Amino acid sequence: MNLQELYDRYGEKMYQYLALRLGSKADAEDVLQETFCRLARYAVQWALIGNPRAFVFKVLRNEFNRHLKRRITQVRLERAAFNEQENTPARSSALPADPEDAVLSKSVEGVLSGLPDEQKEVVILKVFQGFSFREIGGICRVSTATAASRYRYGMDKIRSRLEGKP
Amino acid sequence: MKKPFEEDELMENRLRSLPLKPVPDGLRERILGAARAERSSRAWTTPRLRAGLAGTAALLAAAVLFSALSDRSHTARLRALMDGHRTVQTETERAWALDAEDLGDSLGPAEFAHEKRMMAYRRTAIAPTAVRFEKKFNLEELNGQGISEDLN
Repeated sequence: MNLQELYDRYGEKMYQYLALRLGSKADAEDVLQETFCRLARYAVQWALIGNPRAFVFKVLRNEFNRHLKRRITQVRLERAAFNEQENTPARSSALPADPEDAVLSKSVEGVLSGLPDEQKEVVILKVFQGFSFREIGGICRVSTATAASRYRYGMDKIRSRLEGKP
Repeated sequence: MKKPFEEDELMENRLRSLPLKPVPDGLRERILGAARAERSSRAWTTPRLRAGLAGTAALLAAAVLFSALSDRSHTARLRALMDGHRTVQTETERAWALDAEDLGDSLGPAEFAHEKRMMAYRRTAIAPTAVRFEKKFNLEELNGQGISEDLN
Protein backbone atom coordinates (compact mmCIF):
# COMPACT_ATOMS: atom_id res chain seq x y z
CA MET A 1 0.00 0.00 0.00
CA ASN A 2 1.55 3.32 -1.03
CA LEU A 3 0.87 6.73 0.44
CA GLN A 4 -1.88 7.65 -2.04
CA GLU A 5 -3.78 4.45 -1.33
CA LEU A 6 -3.33 5.00 2.36
CA TYR A 7 -4.75 8.50 2.15
CA ASP A 8 -7.62 7.43 -0.10
CA ARG A 9 -8.60 4.68 2.32
CA TYR A 10 -8.16 6.35 5.68
CA GLY A 11 -7.20 10.00 5.15
CA GLU A 12 -10.61 11.58 5.55
CA LYS A 13 -11.56 9.37 8.50
CA MET A 14 -8.31 10.28 10.18
CA TYR A 15 -8.97 13.96 9.61
CA GLN A 16 -12.47 13.65 11.09
CA TYR A 17 -11.10 11.87 14.15
CA LEU A 18 -8.54 14.62 14.70
CA ALA A 19 -10.99 17.42 14.04
CA LEU A 20 -13.40 15.96 16.60
CA ARG A 21 -10.72 15.44 19.21
CA LEU A 22 -8.80 18.66 18.73
CA GLY A 23 -11.66 20.95 17.72
CA SER A 24 -9.27 22.92 15.51
CA LYS A 25 -8.97 22.59 11.76
CA ALA A 26 -5.38 23.80 11.59
CA ASP A 27 -4.20 21.48 14.37
CA ALA A 28 -6.00 18.54 12.77
CA GLU A 29 -4.23 19.21 9.47
CA ASP A 30 -0.86 19.51 11.20
CA VAL A 31 -1.24 16.27 13.11
CA LEU A 32 -2.49 14.44 10.02
CA GLN A 33 0.53 15.67 8.07
CA GLU A 34 2.89 14.60 10.85
CA THR A 35 1.28 11.16 10.89
CA PHE A 36 1.71 10.68 7.15
CA CYS A 37 5.31 11.89 7.35
CA ARG A 38 5.95 9.35 10.11
CA LEU A 39 4.37 6.57 8.06
CA ALA A 40 6.46 7.62 5.03
CA ARG A 41 9.66 7.79 7.08
CA TYR A 42 9.47 4.22 8.34
CA ALA A 43 8.38 2.59 5.04
CA VAL A 44 5.88 0.26 6.73
CA GLN A 45 5.66 -3.35 5.50
CA TRP A 46 1.89 -3.42 5.13
CA ALA A 47 1.80 -7.10 4.21
CA LEU A 48 2.94 -7.94 7.74
CA ILE A 49 0.20 -5.93 9.44
CA GLY A 50 -2.99 -7.82 10.19
CA ASN A 51 -5.31 -4.85 10.69
CA PRO A 52 -3.95 -1.83 8.78
CA ARG A 53 -6.83 0.46 9.78
CA ALA A 54 -6.31 -0.14 13.52
CA PHE A 55 -2.54 0.23 13.02
CA VAL A 56 -2.96 3.56 11.23
CA PHE A 57 -5.23 4.86 13.98
CA LYS A 58 -2.74 3.75 16.61
CA VAL A 59 -0.01 5.73 14.87
CA LEU A 60 -2.43 8.65 14.55
CA ARG A 61 -3.27 8.52 18.24
CA ASN A 62 0.41 8.52 19.18
CA GLU A 63 0.99 11.54 16.98
CA PHE A 64 -2.04 13.24 18.52
CA ASN A 65 -0.62 12.64 22.02
CA ARG A 66 2.77 14.04 20.93
CA HIS A 67 1.02 17.12 19.56
CA LEU A 68 -0.87 17.61 22.82
CA LYS A 69 2.34 17.35 24.85
CA ARG A 70 4.00 19.93 22.62
CA ARG A 71 1.02 22.26 22.94
CA ILE A 72 0.89 21.92 26.71
CA THR A 73 4.61 22.71 27.01
CA GLN A 74 4.21 25.66 24.65
CA VAL A 75 1.23 27.02 26.60
CA ARG A 76 3.09 26.65 29.90
CA LEU A 77 6.09 28.51 28.53
CA GLU A 78 3.91 31.25 27.09
CA ARG A 79 2.09 31.61 30.40
CA ALA A 80 5.33 31.77 32.34
CA ALA A 81 6.74 34.41 29.97
CA PHE A 82 3.50 36.40 30.12
CA ASN A 83 3.41 36.27 33.94
CA GLU A 84 7.02 37.41 34.17
CA GLN A 85 6.42 40.34 31.83
CA GLU A 86 3.09 41.57 33.10
CA ASN A 87 3.22 40.23 36.65
CA THR A 88 -0.47 39.43 36.35
CA PRO A 89 -2.31 36.18 37.15
CA ALA A 90 -2.38 33.59 34.39
CA ARG A 91 -5.33 33.49 32.05
CA SER A 92 -7.74 30.61 32.30
CA SER A 93 -6.75 29.30 28.89
CA ALA A 94 -3.89 30.37 26.63
CA LEU A 95 -5.13 28.27 23.73
CA PRO A 96 -6.35 30.52 20.91
CA ALA A 97 -10.10 30.45 20.43
CA ASP A 98 -11.21 28.89 17.17
CA PRO A 99 -13.49 31.33 15.26
CA GLU A 100 -15.64 28.38 14.27
CA ASP A 101 -16.39 27.43 17.88
CA ALA A 102 -19.73 29.23 17.92
CA VAL A 103 -20.87 27.32 14.84
CA LEU A 104 -19.54 24.04 16.17
CA SER A 105 -21.58 24.17 19.35
CA LYS A 106 -24.54 22.94 17.33
CA SER A 107 -22.57 20.09 15.80
CA VAL A 108 -20.89 16.87 16.93
CA GLU A 109 -18.06 18.79 18.57
CA GLY A 110 -20.60 20.65 20.67
CA VAL A 111 -22.28 17.44 21.77
CA LEU A 112 -18.98 15.74 22.61
CA SER A 113 -17.39 18.77 24.23
CA GLY A 114 -18.50 18.01 27.78
CA LEU A 115 -17.20 14.45 27.83
CA PRO A 116 -13.97 13.43 29.55
CA ASP A 117 -11.27 12.89 26.95
CA GLU A 118 -11.01 9.11 27.28
CA GLN A 119 -14.78 8.68 26.89
CA LYS A 120 -14.86 11.11 23.99
CA GLU A 121 -12.12 9.17 22.22
CA VAL A 122 -13.92 5.83 22.58
CA VAL A 123 -17.21 7.30 21.38
CA ILE A 124 -15.52 8.83 18.32
CA LEU A 125 -13.75 5.60 17.45
CA LYS A 126 -16.93 3.54 17.91
CA VAL A 127 -19.55 5.80 16.38
CA PHE A 128 -17.67 7.63 13.64
CA GLN A 129 -14.91 5.18 12.78
CA GLY A 130 -16.82 1.93 13.29
CA PHE A 131 -14.17 0.14 15.37
CA SER A 132 -15.08 -2.77 17.62
CA PHE A 133 -14.41 -2.54 21.35
CA ARG A 134 -11.55 -4.98 20.93
CA GLU A 135 -9.92 -2.80 18.28
CA ILE A 136 -10.51 0.31 20.39
CA GLY A 137 -8.85 -1.43 23.32
CA GLY A 138 -5.84 -2.13 21.11
CA ILE A 139 -5.66 1.42 19.80
CA CYS A 140 -6.05 3.06 23.23
CA ARG A 141 -3.98 0.40 25.04
CA VAL A 142 -6.79 -0.53 27.45
CA SER A 143 -8.78 -3.74 27.92
CA THR A 144 -11.88 -4.44 25.85
CA ALA A 145 -14.04 -4.15 29.00
CA THR A 146 -12.55 -0.74 29.82
CA ALA A 147 -13.23 0.47 26.29
CA ALA A 148 -16.83 -0.78 26.52
CA SER A 149 -17.43 0.87 29.89
CA ARG A 150 -15.98 4.18 28.70
CA TYR A 151 -18.32 4.03 25.75
CA ARG A 152 -21.27 3.26 28.02
CA TYR A 153 -20.56 6.21 30.34
CA GLY A 154 -19.97 8.50 27.40
CA MET A 155 -23.18 7.53 25.66
CA ASP A 156 -25.16 7.99 28.88
CA LYS A 157 -23.82 11.52 29.22
CA ILE A 158 -24.58 12.35 25.59
CA ARG A 159 -28.06 10.93 25.91
CA SER A 160 -28.85 12.96 29.00
CA ARG A 161 -27.45 16.06 27.33
CA LEU A 162 -29.46 15.63 24.12
CA GLU A 163 -32.63 14.72 25.97
CA GLY A 164 -32.18 17.62 28.38
CA LYS A 165 -31.85 15.41 31.50
CA PRO A 166 -29.64 16.65 34.37
CA MET B 1 -39.35 -0.47 26.66
CA LYS B 2 -36.21 -0.21 24.55
CA LYS B 3 -33.16 -2.36 25.37
CA PRO B 4 -29.90 -0.55 26.17
CA PHE B 5 -28.14 -1.57 22.94
CA GLU B 6 -31.18 -0.37 20.90
CA GLU B 7 -30.97 2.96 22.68
CA ASP B 8 -27.26 3.10 21.91
CA GLU B 9 -27.92 2.36 18.26
CA LEU B 10 -30.49 5.13 18.06
CA MET B 11 -28.13 7.53 19.76
CA GLU B 12 -25.30 6.52 17.44
CA ASN B 13 -27.50 7.18 14.41
CA ARG B 14 -28.47 10.53 15.85
CA LEU B 15 -24.84 11.45 16.39
CA ARG B 16 -23.90 10.35 12.87
CA SER B 17 -26.62 12.58 11.44
CA LEU B 18 -25.00 15.68 12.97
CA PRO B 19 -22.74 17.66 10.62
CA LEU B 20 -19.02 16.98 10.70
CA LYS B 21 -16.29 19.36 9.65
CA PRO B 22 -15.71 19.07 5.91
CA VAL B 23 -12.25 18.04 4.73
CA PRO B 24 -10.50 21.16 3.39
CA ASP B 25 -9.79 21.40 -0.33
CA GLY B 26 -6.27 20.52 -1.35
CA LEU B 27 -5.55 18.71 1.91
CA ARG B 28 -4.78 15.46 0.09
CA GLU B 29 -2.12 17.07 -2.12
CA ARG B 30 -0.59 18.94 0.81
CA ILE B 31 -0.37 15.85 3.00
CA LEU B 32 0.96 13.59 0.26
CA GLY B 33 3.46 16.22 -0.90
CA ALA B 34 4.83 16.60 2.63
CA ALA B 35 5.02 12.83 3.10
CA ARG B 36 6.87 12.37 -0.21
CA ALA B 37 9.29 15.17 0.67
CA GLU B 38 9.92 13.53 4.04
CA ARG B 39 10.59 10.19 2.42
CA SER B 40 13.00 11.60 -0.15
CA SER B 41 14.87 13.68 2.44
CA ARG B 42 15.29 10.63 4.68
CA ALA B 43 16.45 8.33 1.91
CA TRP B 44 20.16 7.57 2.38
CA THR B 45 20.84 7.80 -1.37
CA THR B 46 19.39 9.70 -4.27
CA PRO B 47 17.96 7.69 -7.20
CA ARG B 48 20.93 8.71 -9.39
CA LEU B 49 23.45 7.56 -6.78
CA ARG B 50 21.58 4.28 -6.36
CA ALA B 51 21.75 3.70 -10.12
CA GLY B 52 25.47 4.49 -10.07
CA LEU B 53 26.09 2.08 -7.21
CA ALA B 54 24.16 -0.67 -8.96
CA GLY B 55 26.11 -0.08 -12.18
CA THR B 56 29.47 -0.21 -10.36
CA ALA B 57 28.50 -3.41 -8.57
CA ALA B 58 27.47 -5.00 -11.88
CA LEU B 59 30.77 -3.97 -13.52
CA LEU B 60 32.79 -5.40 -10.62
CA ALA B 61 30.88 -8.67 -10.75
CA ALA B 62 31.45 -8.88 -14.52
CA ALA B 63 35.20 -8.22 -14.08
CA VAL B 64 35.54 -10.91 -11.40
CA LEU B 65 33.60 -13.39 -13.53
CA PHE B 66 35.65 -12.59 -16.63
CA SER B 67 38.90 -12.98 -14.70
CA ALA B 68 37.82 -16.35 -13.27
CA LEU B 69 36.76 -17.63 -16.70
CA SER B 70 39.97 -16.37 -18.30
CA ASP B 71 42.13 -18.08 -15.63
CA ARG B 72 40.25 -21.28 -16.08
CA SER B 73 40.65 -21.30 -19.86
CA HIS B 74 44.35 -20.39 -19.54
CA THR B 75 44.98 -23.26 -17.11
CA ALA B 76 43.12 -25.65 -19.39
CA ARG B 77 45.23 -24.53 -22.36
CA LEU B 78 48.48 -25.01 -20.43
CA ARG B 79 47.40 -28.42 -19.20
CA ALA B 80 46.62 -29.43 -22.75
CA LEU B 81 50.09 -28.21 -23.84
CA MET B 82 51.85 -30.11 -21.05
CA ASP B 83 49.91 -33.25 -21.83
CA GLY B 84 48.31 -33.42 -18.42
CA HIS B 85 51.54 -32.93 -16.39
CA ARG B 86 51.88 -30.36 -13.75
CA THR B 87 53.68 -27.20 -14.78
CA VAL B 88 54.26 -25.72 -11.35
CA GLN B 89 57.19 -27.05 -9.32
CA THR B 90 57.54 -26.95 -5.55
CA GLU B 91 60.65 -25.45 -3.97
CA THR B 92 62.15 -28.89 -3.32
CA GLU B 93 61.48 -30.03 -6.87
CA ARG B 94 63.13 -26.91 -8.22
CA ALA B 95 66.18 -27.42 -5.96
CA TRP B 96 66.45 -31.02 -7.03
CA ALA B 97 66.31 -30.01 -10.66
CA LEU B 98 69.18 -27.52 -10.15
CA ASP B 99 71.25 -30.06 -8.22
CA ALA B 100 70.66 -32.62 -10.92
CA GLU B 101 71.94 -30.13 -13.49
CA ASP B 102 75.09 -29.62 -11.35
CA LEU B 103 75.68 -33.34 -11.08
CA GLY B 104 75.45 -33.62 -14.82
CA ASP B 105 75.41 -36.90 -16.55
CA SER B 106 78.35 -38.29 -14.63
CA LEU B 107 76.26 -40.60 -12.46
CA GLY B 108 74.32 -43.65 -13.47
CA PRO B 109 70.55 -43.85 -12.86
CA ALA B 110 70.86 -45.85 -9.60
CA GLU B 111 73.60 -43.57 -8.21
CA PHE B 112 71.67 -40.50 -9.25
CA ALA B 113 68.53 -41.74 -7.46
CA HIS B 114 70.58 -42.46 -4.33
CA GLU B 115 72.17 -39.03 -4.53
CA LYS B 116 68.72 -37.40 -4.85
CA ARG B 117 67.48 -39.19 -1.73
CA MET B 118 70.55 -38.07 0.21
CA MET B 119 70.06 -34.48 -0.91
CA ALA B 120 66.46 -34.55 0.17
CA TYR B 121 67.41 -35.97 3.56
CA ARG B 122 70.08 -33.34 4.11
CA ARG B 123 67.67 -30.60 3.22
CA THR B 124 65.11 -31.74 5.76
CA ALA B 125 67.37 -33.02 8.53
CA ILE B 126 70.29 -30.66 8.53
CA ALA B 127 68.49 -27.38 8.34
CA PRO B 128 66.90 -27.52 11.85
CA THR B 129 70.27 -28.47 13.37
CA ALA B 130 71.84 -25.45 11.74
CA VAL B 131 69.13 -23.23 13.13
CA ARG B 132 69.60 -24.65 16.61
CA PHE B 133 73.36 -24.10 16.33
CA GLU B 134 72.91 -20.52 15.25
CA LYS B 135 70.53 -19.86 18.10
CA LYS B 136 72.76 -21.51 20.68
CA PHE B 137 75.81 -19.43 19.83
CA ASN B 138 73.87 -16.36 18.91
CA LEU B 139 75.59 -16.23 15.56
CA GLU B 140 73.04 -13.98 13.93
CA GLU B 141 73.76 -11.28 16.46
CA LEU B 142 77.50 -11.72 16.17
CA ASN B 143 77.31 -11.60 12.42
CA GLY B 144 75.40 -8.36 12.68
CA GLN B 145 78.24 -6.80 14.68
CA GLY B 146 80.75 -7.67 12.01
CA ILE B 147 83.18 -9.55 14.30
CA SER B 148 86.31 -10.65 12.60
CA GLU B 149 86.83 -14.35 12.05
CA ASP B 150 90.36 -13.96 13.27
CA LEU B 151 89.84 -14.32 17.00
CA ASN B 152 93.52 -14.24 17.82
